[in-house]
Amino acid sequence: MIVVGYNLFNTEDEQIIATIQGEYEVLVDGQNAFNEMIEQNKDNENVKQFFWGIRLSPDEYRVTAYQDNEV
Amino acid sequence: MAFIKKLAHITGDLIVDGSIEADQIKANTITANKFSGAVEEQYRAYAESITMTSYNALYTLHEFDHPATEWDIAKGRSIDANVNYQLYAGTTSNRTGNIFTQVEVQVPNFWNPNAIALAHHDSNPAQYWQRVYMVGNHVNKFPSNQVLIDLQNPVYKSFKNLRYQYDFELSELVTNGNFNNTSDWVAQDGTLTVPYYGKLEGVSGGANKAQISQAVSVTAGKVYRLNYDAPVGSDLYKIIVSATADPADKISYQGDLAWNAVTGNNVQEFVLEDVTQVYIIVQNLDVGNDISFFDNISLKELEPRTWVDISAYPTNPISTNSVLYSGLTTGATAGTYVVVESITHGISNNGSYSFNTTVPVSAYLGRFHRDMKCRIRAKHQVGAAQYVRLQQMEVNLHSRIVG
Repeated sequence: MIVVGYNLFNTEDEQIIATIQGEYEVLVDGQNAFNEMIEQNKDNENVKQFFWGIRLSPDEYRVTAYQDNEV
Repeated sequence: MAFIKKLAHITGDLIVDGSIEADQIKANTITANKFSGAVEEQYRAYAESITMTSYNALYTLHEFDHPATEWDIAKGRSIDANVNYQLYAGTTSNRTGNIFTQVEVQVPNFWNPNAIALAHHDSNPAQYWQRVYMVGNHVNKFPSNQVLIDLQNPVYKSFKNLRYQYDFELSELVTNGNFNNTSDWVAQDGTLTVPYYGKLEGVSGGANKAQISQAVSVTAGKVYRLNYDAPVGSDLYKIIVSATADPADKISYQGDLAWNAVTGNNVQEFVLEDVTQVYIIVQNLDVGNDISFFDNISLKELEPRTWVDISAYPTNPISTNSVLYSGLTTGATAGTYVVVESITHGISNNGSYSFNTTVPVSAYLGRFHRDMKCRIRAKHQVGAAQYVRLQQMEVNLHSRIVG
Protein backbone atom coordinates (compact mmCIF):
# COMPACT_ATOMS: atom_id res chain seq x y z
CA MET A 1 0.00 0.00 0.00
CA ILE A 2 1.48 3.32 -1.14
CA VAL A 3 1.16 6.34 1.12
CA VAL A 4 1.50 9.90 -0.24
CA GLY A 5 1.40 13.10 1.80
CA TYR A 6 3.25 16.22 2.81
CA ASN A 7 5.02 17.88 5.73
CA LEU A 8 3.05 20.96 6.74
CA PHE A 9 4.51 23.78 8.84
CA ASN A 10 1.91 24.93 11.37
CA THR A 11 2.45 28.66 11.88
CA GLU A 12 0.59 28.73 15.22
CA ASP A 13 2.78 26.30 17.15
CA GLU A 14 5.66 26.29 14.63
CA GLN A 15 5.55 22.50 14.41
CA ILE A 16 5.92 20.44 11.25
CA ILE A 17 3.13 17.92 10.93
CA ALA A 18 3.03 14.99 8.50
CA THR A 19 -0.29 14.88 6.64
CA ILE A 20 -1.35 11.85 4.64
CA GLN A 21 -3.10 12.82 1.41
CA GLY A 22 -4.08 9.33 0.28
CA GLU A 23 -3.24 5.63 0.07
CA TYR A 24 -3.15 3.52 -3.09
CA GLU A 25 -2.75 -0.15 -3.92
CA VAL A 26 -1.60 0.32 -7.51
CA LEU A 27 1.77 1.95 -8.18
CA VAL A 28 0.68 4.13 -11.07
CA ASP A 29 -2.31 5.41 -9.07
CA GLY A 30 0.07 6.42 -6.28
CA GLN A 31 2.42 8.13 -8.72
CA ASN A 32 -0.44 10.08 -10.32
CA ALA A 33 -1.78 11.10 -6.91
CA PHE A 34 1.71 12.19 -5.85
CA ASN A 35 2.08 14.42 -8.90
CA GLU A 36 -1.41 15.84 -8.48
CA MET A 37 -0.71 16.57 -4.81
CA ILE A 38 2.42 18.50 -5.77
CA GLU A 39 0.51 20.48 -8.37
CA GLN A 40 -2.21 21.36 -5.86
CA ASN A 41 0.14 22.38 -3.06
CA LYS A 42 3.23 23.70 -4.79
CA ASP A 43 2.34 27.33 -4.02
CA ASN A 44 1.67 26.73 -0.34
CA GLU A 45 4.81 27.90 1.39
CA ASN A 46 3.87 26.05 4.55
CA VAL A 47 4.21 22.74 2.72
CA LYS A 48 7.86 21.93 3.18
CA GLN A 49 8.15 18.48 1.60
CA PHE A 50 6.00 16.00 -0.23
CA PHE A 51 6.56 12.43 0.83
CA TRP A 52 6.11 8.98 -0.60
CA GLY A 53 5.92 5.90 1.59
CA ILE A 54 4.66 2.42 2.28
CA ARG A 55 2.15 1.21 4.81
CA LEU A 56 3.53 -1.58 6.99
CA SER A 57 0.41 -2.19 9.09
CA PRO A 58 -2.87 -0.42 9.87
CA ASP A 59 -1.01 1.65 12.47
CA GLU A 60 2.40 2.17 10.86
CA TYR A 61 3.78 3.63 7.67
CA ARG A 62 7.33 4.40 6.56
CA VAL A 63 8.36 7.39 4.46
CA THR A 64 10.68 6.19 1.71
CA ALA A 65 11.16 9.30 -0.46
CA TYR A 66 10.85 13.08 -0.36
CA GLN A 67 10.44 15.90 -2.81
CA ASP A 68 11.09 19.38 -1.43
CA ASN A 69 8.53 22.05 -2.17
CA GLU A 70 10.52 24.75 -3.93
CA VAL A 71 8.19 27.67 -3.27
CA MET B 1 65.63 -30.09 -21.20
CA ALA B 2 63.06 -28.00 -19.40
CA PHE B 3 59.55 -28.09 -20.77
CA ILE B 4 58.57 -24.74 -22.23
CA LYS B 5 55.11 -23.85 -23.47
CA LYS B 6 54.65 -20.58 -25.23
CA LEU B 7 51.68 -18.51 -24.15
CA ALA B 8 48.78 -18.98 -26.51
CA HIS B 9 47.61 -15.99 -28.51
CA ILE B 10 44.25 -15.34 -30.08
CA THR B 11 44.16 -13.05 -33.08
CA GLY B 12 40.81 -11.42 -33.65
CA ASP B 13 37.64 -11.40 -31.58
CA LEU B 14 36.83 -14.04 -28.99
CA ILE B 15 33.19 -14.27 -28.02
CA VAL B 16 32.40 -16.39 -24.99
CA ASP B 17 28.75 -17.29 -24.68
CA GLY B 18 29.11 -18.53 -21.13
CA SER B 19 31.63 -18.15 -18.33
CA ILE B 20 35.40 -18.28 -18.22
CA GLU B 21 37.04 -20.39 -15.56
CA ALA B 22 40.68 -20.51 -14.66
CA ASP B 23 42.80 -21.80 -11.83
CA GLN B 24 44.30 -18.34 -11.57
CA ILE B 25 43.87 -14.98 -13.22
CA LYS B 26 46.75 -12.71 -12.31
CA ALA B 27 46.04 -9.19 -11.20
CA ASN B 28 46.07 -6.67 -14.05
CA THR B 29 46.36 -9.31 -16.75
CA ILE B 30 42.88 -8.76 -18.18
CA THR B 31 43.41 -5.64 -20.24
CA ALA B 32 40.83 -5.85 -23.00
CA ASN B 33 38.97 -2.66 -23.72
CA LYS B 34 35.88 -3.91 -21.91
CA PHE B 35 37.51 -4.92 -18.66
CA SER B 36 40.37 -3.09 -17.13
CA GLY B 37 38.70 -1.33 -14.24
CA ALA B 38 39.61 -1.53 -10.61
CA VAL B 39 37.97 -4.18 -8.47
CA GLU B 40 37.36 -1.51 -5.89
CA GLU B 41 36.80 2.23 -6.23
CA GLN B 42 36.59 4.79 -3.48
CA TYR B 43 35.68 8.47 -3.55
CA ARG B 44 34.92 11.02 -0.88
CA ALA B 45 32.97 14.09 0.00
CA TYR B 46 33.23 16.50 2.90
CA ALA B 47 31.00 19.11 4.50
CA GLU B 48 30.96 21.29 7.59
CA SER B 49 29.21 24.17 9.32
CA ILE B 50 25.49 23.70 8.69
CA THR B 51 23.26 25.12 11.42
CA MET B 52 19.84 23.59 12.03
CA THR B 53 17.74 25.99 14.07
CA SER B 54 14.17 24.84 13.37
CA TYR B 55 12.69 21.94 15.26
CA ASN B 56 11.79 18.94 13.06
CA ALA B 57 12.76 20.68 9.80
CA LEU B 58 14.89 18.77 7.29
CA TYR B 59 18.21 20.37 6.42
CA THR B 60 20.45 19.28 3.57
CA LEU B 61 23.91 18.69 4.98
CA HIS B 62 25.59 17.91 1.68
CA GLU B 63 24.83 16.99 -1.93
CA PHE B 64 27.22 14.92 -4.02
CA ASP B 65 27.28 12.38 -6.86
CA HIS B 66 28.24 8.74 -6.53
CA PRO B 67 30.43 8.34 -9.67
CA ALA B 68 29.59 5.69 -12.25
CA THR B 69 31.93 2.72 -12.00
CA GLU B 70 34.92 2.32 -14.28
CA TRP B 71 33.94 0.64 -17.55
CA ASP B 72 30.34 0.48 -16.32
CA ILE B 73 31.01 -2.69 -14.38
CA ALA B 74 28.16 -3.44 -11.97
CA LYS B 75 29.49 -3.10 -8.44
CA GLY B 76 28.11 -3.01 -4.92
CA ARG B 77 27.68 0.69 -4.10
CA SER B 78 27.69 2.14 -0.62
CA ILE B 79 27.74 5.46 1.21
CA ASP B 80 29.25 5.71 4.68
CA ALA B 81 29.51 8.92 6.66
CA ASN B 82 30.57 10.02 10.10
CA VAL B 83 28.53 13.05 11.05
CA ASN B 84 29.78 15.19 13.91
CA TYR B 85 27.01 17.28 15.50
CA GLN B 86 27.05 20.00 18.12
CA LEU B 87 23.95 20.51 20.25
CA TYR B 88 24.04 24.11 21.44
CA ALA B 89 21.53 24.42 24.26
CA GLY B 90 22.52 27.93 25.33
CA THR B 91 21.67 26.93 28.90
CA THR B 92 22.66 24.35 31.48
CA SER B 93 19.02 23.28 31.74
CA ASN B 94 18.24 19.88 30.30
CA ARG B 95 17.75 19.81 26.52
CA THR B 96 17.14 16.29 25.23
CA GLY B 97 15.82 14.81 22.02
CA ASN B 98 16.76 13.04 18.79
CA ILE B 99 18.71 13.76 15.64
CA PHE B 100 17.57 12.00 12.45
CA THR B 101 20.24 11.53 9.79
CA GLN B 102 19.31 10.06 6.44
CA VAL B 103 21.12 9.07 3.26
CA GLU B 104 19.11 9.84 0.13
CA VAL B 105 19.56 9.18 -3.59
CA GLN B 106 17.67 10.87 -6.39
CA VAL B 107 15.45 8.72 -8.60
CA PRO B 108 16.99 9.01 -12.09
CA ASN B 109 14.94 9.62 -15.24
CA PHE B 110 15.59 6.09 -16.38
CA TRP B 111 16.10 3.18 -14.06
CA ASN B 112 16.21 -0.46 -15.04
CA PRO B 113 15.61 -2.58 -11.91
CA ASN B 114 18.26 -5.22 -11.32
CA ALA B 115 17.03 -8.75 -10.73
CA ILE B 116 17.97 -10.29 -7.40
CA ALA B 117 16.71 -13.88 -7.64
CA LEU B 118 13.65 -16.11 -7.69
CA ALA B 119 12.10 -15.95 -4.23
CA HIS B 120 9.99 -18.76 -2.75
CA HIS B 121 7.37 -18.39 -0.04
CA ASP B 122 8.39 -19.96 3.27
CA SER B 123 6.24 -18.67 6.13
CA ASN B 124 4.75 -15.69 7.93
CA PRO B 125 7.01 -15.17 10.98
CA ALA B 126 4.93 -12.19 12.17
CA GLN B 127 1.74 -10.42 11.18
CA TYR B 128 2.22 -8.48 7.93
CA TRP B 129 5.62 -10.03 7.23
CA GLN B 130 6.31 -12.80 4.73
CA ARG B 131 9.51 -14.84 4.91
CA VAL B 132 10.91 -15.93 1.55
CA TYR B 133 14.12 -17.63 0.45
CA MET B 134 16.29 -17.67 -2.63
CA VAL B 135 18.71 -20.44 -3.54
CA GLY B 136 22.27 -19.13 -3.39
CA ASN B 137 23.88 -16.06 -1.90
CA HIS B 138 22.18 -12.87 -3.07
CA VAL B 139 22.60 -10.54 -0.09
CA ASN B 140 24.79 -8.09 -2.02
CA LYS B 141 22.03 -7.46 -4.56
CA PHE B 142 19.65 -5.99 -1.95
CA PRO B 143 19.78 -2.24 -1.41
CA SER B 144 19.23 -0.99 2.12
CA ASN B 145 15.67 0.13 1.56
CA GLN B 146 13.24 -1.92 -0.59
CA VAL B 147 12.63 -4.73 -3.04
CA LEU B 148 10.45 -4.78 -6.13
CA ILE B 149 8.12 -7.64 -7.06
CA ASP B 150 6.41 -8.26 -10.39
CA LEU B 151 7.51 -5.88 -13.16
CA GLN B 152 4.07 -6.11 -14.82
CA ASN B 153 2.19 -4.97 -11.71
CA PRO B 154 4.99 -3.41 -9.67
CA VAL B 155 4.83 -3.68 -5.90
CA TYR B 156 7.58 -2.12 -3.78
CA LYS B 157 8.09 -3.56 -0.32
CA SER B 158 10.24 -2.91 2.73
CA PHE B 159 12.18 -5.83 4.12
CA LYS B 160 14.11 -6.92 7.20
CA ASN B 161 16.09 -9.87 8.54
CA LEU B 162 18.15 -10.29 5.37
CA ARG B 163 20.72 -13.06 5.84
CA TYR B 164 22.71 -15.75 4.09
CA GLN B 165 22.74 -19.35 5.30
CA TYR B 166 25.20 -21.78 3.73
CA ASP B 167 23.72 -24.92 5.21
CA PHE B 168 19.94 -25.19 4.92
CA GLU B 169 19.28 -28.91 5.28
CA LEU B 170 17.15 -30.49 2.55
CA SER B 171 15.19 -33.70 3.07
CA GLU B 172 16.60 -36.79 4.71
CA LEU B 173 18.29 -39.20 2.31
CA VAL B 174 18.89 -42.13 4.66
CA THR B 175 15.96 -44.43 5.25
CA ASN B 176 15.46 -45.92 8.71
CA GLY B 177 18.49 -44.10 10.06
CA ASN B 178 17.06 -44.26 13.57
CA PHE B 179 16.81 -48.06 13.47
CA ASN B 180 13.18 -48.61 14.33
CA ASN B 181 13.75 -51.99 12.71
CA THR B 182 16.37 -53.68 10.57
CA SER B 183 14.92 -52.82 7.18
CA ASP B 184 16.73 -50.82 4.46
CA TRP B 185 20.18 -51.86 5.72
CA VAL B 186 22.18 -54.74 4.24
CA ALA B 187 24.26 -56.61 6.79
CA GLN B 188 27.46 -58.40 5.82
CA ASP B 189 29.72 -60.63 7.96
CA GLY B 190 27.52 -59.99 10.98
CA THR B 191 24.00 -59.52 12.31
CA LEU B 192 22.01 -56.32 12.67
CA THR B 193 19.52 -56.09 15.52
CA VAL B 194 17.68 -53.19 17.11
CA PRO B 195 17.53 -53.78 20.88
CA TYR B 196 17.29 -50.03 21.47
CA TYR B 197 19.86 -48.51 19.14
CA GLY B 198 21.19 -50.22 16.06
CA LYS B 199 23.47 -53.06 17.07
CA LEU B 200 25.92 -54.87 14.80
CA GLU B 201 27.55 -58.08 16.02
CA GLY B 202 30.29 -59.79 14.08
CA VAL B 203 30.72 -63.50 13.60
CA SER B 204 32.87 -65.24 16.20
CA GLY B 205 36.11 -66.26 14.53
CA GLY B 206 35.16 -64.42 11.35
CA ALA B 207 37.95 -63.00 9.22
CA ASN B 208 36.14 -59.83 8.16
CA LYS B 209 34.77 -56.85 10.03
CA ALA B 210 30.98 -56.86 10.16
CA GLN B 211 29.21 -54.03 8.34
CA ILE B 212 25.84 -52.70 7.29
CA SER B 213 25.31 -50.48 4.27
CA GLN B 214 22.63 -48.52 2.46
CA ALA B 215 22.70 -47.00 -1.03
CA VAL B 216 21.68 -43.34 -1.25
CA SER B 217 21.06 -41.22 -4.35
CA VAL B 218 22.92 -37.91 -4.38
CA THR B 219 23.62 -35.02 -6.75
CA ALA B 220 27.16 -34.55 -7.98
CA GLY B 221 28.83 -31.35 -6.87
CA LYS B 222 26.54 -30.67 -3.92
CA VAL B 223 27.50 -30.27 -0.25
CA TYR B 224 26.29 -32.87 2.23
CA ARG B 225 26.10 -33.19 6.00
CA LEU B 226 26.44 -36.62 7.60
CA ASN B 227 25.21 -37.01 11.17
CA TYR B 228 25.64 -40.18 13.27
CA ASP B 229 25.44 -41.02 16.94
CA ALA B 230 27.66 -43.36 18.92
CA PRO B 231 25.57 -44.02 22.05
CA VAL B 232 27.85 -46.58 23.74
CA GLY B 233 31.42 -45.48 24.30
CA SER B 234 32.78 -48.98 24.71
CA ASP B 235 31.30 -50.21 21.40
CA LEU B 236 32.27 -47.74 18.75
CA TYR B 237 32.42 -48.11 14.96
CA LYS B 238 33.71 -46.63 11.73
CA ILE B 239 31.44 -44.89 9.24
CA ILE B 240 32.40 -44.76 5.58
CA VAL B 241 30.97 -43.01 2.52
CA SER B 242 31.82 -45.28 -0.37
CA ALA B 243 31.13 -45.59 -4.09
CA THR B 244 30.12 -49.23 -3.54
CA ALA B 245 29.18 -51.45 -0.62
CA ASP B 246 32.89 -52.22 -0.30
CA PRO B 247 34.68 -49.92 2.21
CA ALA B 248 37.76 -50.10 -0.01
CA ASP B 249 35.94 -47.89 -2.52
CA LYS B 250 35.62 -45.06 -0.05
CA ILE B 251 35.26 -41.62 -1.59
CA SER B 252 37.81 -38.89 -1.06
CA TYR B 253 37.19 -35.19 -0.62
CA GLN B 254 40.00 -33.37 1.13
CA GLY B 255 40.82 -36.75 2.67
CA ASP B 256 38.99 -40.06 2.84
CA LEU B 257 35.30 -39.93 3.76
CA ALA B 258 35.81 -42.46 6.57
CA TRP B 259 35.77 -41.64 10.26
CA ASN B 260 35.99 -43.46 13.56
CA ALA B 261 32.92 -42.46 15.57
CA VAL B 262 33.42 -40.84 18.94
CA THR B 263 30.95 -41.08 21.80
CA GLY B 264 27.92 -38.90 21.29
CA ASN B 265 26.86 -37.01 18.17
CA ASN B 266 29.22 -36.82 15.19
CA VAL B 267 28.92 -34.42 12.24
CA GLN B 268 30.82 -34.33 8.94
CA GLU B 269 30.40 -32.03 5.94
CA PHE B 270 31.80 -32.69 2.49
CA VAL B 271 31.24 -32.27 -1.24
CA LEU B 272 30.31 -35.31 -3.32
CA GLU B 273 32.04 -34.19 -6.47
CA ASP B 274 31.27 -36.65 -9.26
CA VAL B 275 28.95 -39.40 -8.03
CA THR B 276 25.19 -39.83 -8.15
CA GLN B 277 24.98 -42.69 -5.68
CA VAL B 278 26.91 -43.44 -2.51
CA TYR B 279 26.81 -46.14 0.14
CA ILE B 280 26.70 -45.29 3.81
CA ILE B 281 28.63 -48.06 5.54
CA VAL B 282 28.78 -48.74 9.27
CA GLN B 283 31.66 -51.04 10.02
CA ASN B 284 32.79 -52.67 13.27
CA LEU B 285 36.27 -51.69 14.40
CA ASP B 286 37.50 -55.28 14.79
CA VAL B 287 37.03 -58.64 13.15
CA GLY B 288 35.39 -61.54 14.90
CA ASN B 289 32.67 -61.17 17.49
CA ASP B 290 33.02 -57.40 17.82
CA ILE B 291 29.94 -55.31 18.69
CA SER B 292 29.03 -51.75 17.87
CA PHE B 293 26.04 -49.55 18.68
CA PHE B 294 24.87 -46.70 16.49
CA ASP B 295 21.85 -44.47 15.98
CA ASN B 296 20.41 -41.48 14.10
CA ILE B 297 22.40 -41.88 10.91
CA SER B 298 21.46 -39.03 8.62
CA LEU B 299 22.65 -37.66 5.28
CA LYS B 300 21.22 -34.39 3.97
CA GLU B 301 22.14 -32.11 1.11
CA LEU B 302 23.01 -28.58 2.24
CA GLU B 303 21.51 -25.82 0.15
CA PRO B 304 22.86 -22.26 0.32
CA ARG B 305 19.98 -19.87 0.83
CA THR B 306 19.30 -16.17 1.18
CA TRP B 307 16.47 -15.39 3.60
CA VAL B 308 14.51 -12.19 3.93
CA ASP B 309 11.25 -11.03 5.51
CA ILE B 310 9.16 -8.84 3.20
CA SER B 311 6.48 -6.41 4.26
CA ALA B 312 3.15 -8.16 3.67
CA TYR B 313 0.49 -5.57 4.35
CA PRO B 314 -2.31 -6.13 3.57
CA THR B 315 -1.51 -9.56 2.03
CA ASN B 316 1.46 -11.69 1.06
CA PRO B 317 3.09 -10.17 -2.03
CA ILE B 318 4.39 -13.58 -3.17
CA SER B 319 1.91 -16.46 -3.48
CA THR B 320 4.28 -19.31 -4.40
CA ASN B 321 7.35 -17.78 -6.00
CA SER B 322 8.29 -14.63 -7.85
CA VAL B 323 11.43 -12.85 -9.02
CA LEU B 324 12.67 -10.15 -6.66
CA TYR B 325 14.30 -7.00 -8.03
CA SER B 326 16.18 -4.19 -6.38
CA GLY B 327 13.63 -1.63 -5.22
CA LEU B 328 16.06 1.22 -4.66
CA THR B 329 13.71 3.83 -6.16
CA THR B 330 10.74 2.61 -4.04
CA GLY B 331 8.52 3.42 -7.03
CA ALA B 332 8.84 7.16 -6.40
CA THR B 333 8.79 9.40 -9.47
CA ALA B 334 11.93 10.70 -11.19
CA GLY B 335 13.59 13.57 -9.36
CA THR B 336 12.31 12.51 -5.95
CA TYR B 337 14.92 11.75 -3.31
CA VAL B 338 14.67 8.26 -1.86
CA VAL B 339 15.62 7.64 1.76
CA VAL B 340 17.94 4.67 1.54
CA GLU B 341 18.90 4.64 5.20
CA SER B 342 17.80 6.64 8.23
CA ILE B 343 19.45 6.72 11.66
CA THR B 344 17.88 8.06 14.85
CA HIS B 345 20.37 9.25 17.44
CA GLY B 346 19.47 10.37 20.95
CA ILE B 347 21.19 13.52 22.20
CA SER B 348 21.27 15.56 25.44
CA ASN B 349 23.33 18.53 26.58
CA ASN B 350 24.05 16.77 29.91
CA GLY B 351 24.01 20.02 31.89
CA SER B 352 26.36 21.84 29.52
CA TYR B 353 25.82 24.77 27.20
CA SER B 354 27.19 22.71 24.35
CA PHE B 355 27.50 19.00 23.64
CA ASN B 356 29.14 17.16 20.71
CA THR B 357 28.38 13.73 19.33
CA THR B 358 29.28 11.70 16.25
CA VAL B 359 26.67 9.71 14.32
CA PRO B 360 27.78 7.04 11.84
CA VAL B 361 25.38 6.43 8.97
CA SER B 362 25.72 3.79 6.29
CA ALA B 363 23.64 2.99 3.21
CA TYR B 364 24.01 0.22 0.65
CA LEU B 365 22.54 1.00 -2.76
CA GLY B 366 22.78 -2.43 -4.36
CA ARG B 367 24.74 -3.58 -7.40
CA PHE B 368 24.76 -1.34 -10.48
CA HIS B 369 27.08 0.94 -12.40
CA ARG B 370 25.51 4.33 -13.14
CA ASP B 371 25.99 7.82 -11.69
CA MET B 372 23.68 8.63 -8.79
CA LYS B 373 22.86 11.96 -7.24
CA CYS B 374 23.01 11.67 -3.48
CA ARG B 375 22.57 13.82 -0.42
CA ILE B 376 22.65 13.53 3.33
CA ARG B 377 19.95 15.30 5.28
CA ALA B 378 19.12 15.69 8.94
CA LYS B 379 16.57 17.12 11.32
CA HIS B 380 16.48 17.45 15.05
CA GLN B 381 13.75 17.11 17.62
CA VAL B 382 15.42 18.77 20.58
CA GLY B 383 12.88 21.08 22.16
CA ALA B 384 14.00 24.59 23.18
CA ALA B 385 17.58 24.08 21.99
CA GLN B 386 19.18 27.07 20.29
CA TYR B 387 20.39 24.90 17.45
CA VAL B 388 21.99 21.66 16.34
CA ARG B 389 24.95 22.18 14.07
CA LEU B 390 26.85 19.98 11.69
CA GLN B 391 30.45 20.49 12.74
CA GLN B 392 31.97 18.32 10.03
CA MET B 393 31.11 15.24 8.03
CA GLU B 394 33.41 12.88 6.14
CA VAL B 395 31.63 10.83 3.45
CA ASN B 396 33.07 7.70 1.83
CA LEU B 397 31.61 6.52 -1.47
CA HIS B 398 32.52 2.96 -2.16
CA SER B 399 32.08 0.72 -5.22
CA ARG B 400 33.31 -2.83 -5.20
CA ILE B 401 32.84 -5.92 -7.32
CA VAL B 402 30.64 -8.21 -5.26
CA GLY B 403 29.08 -11.61 -5.84
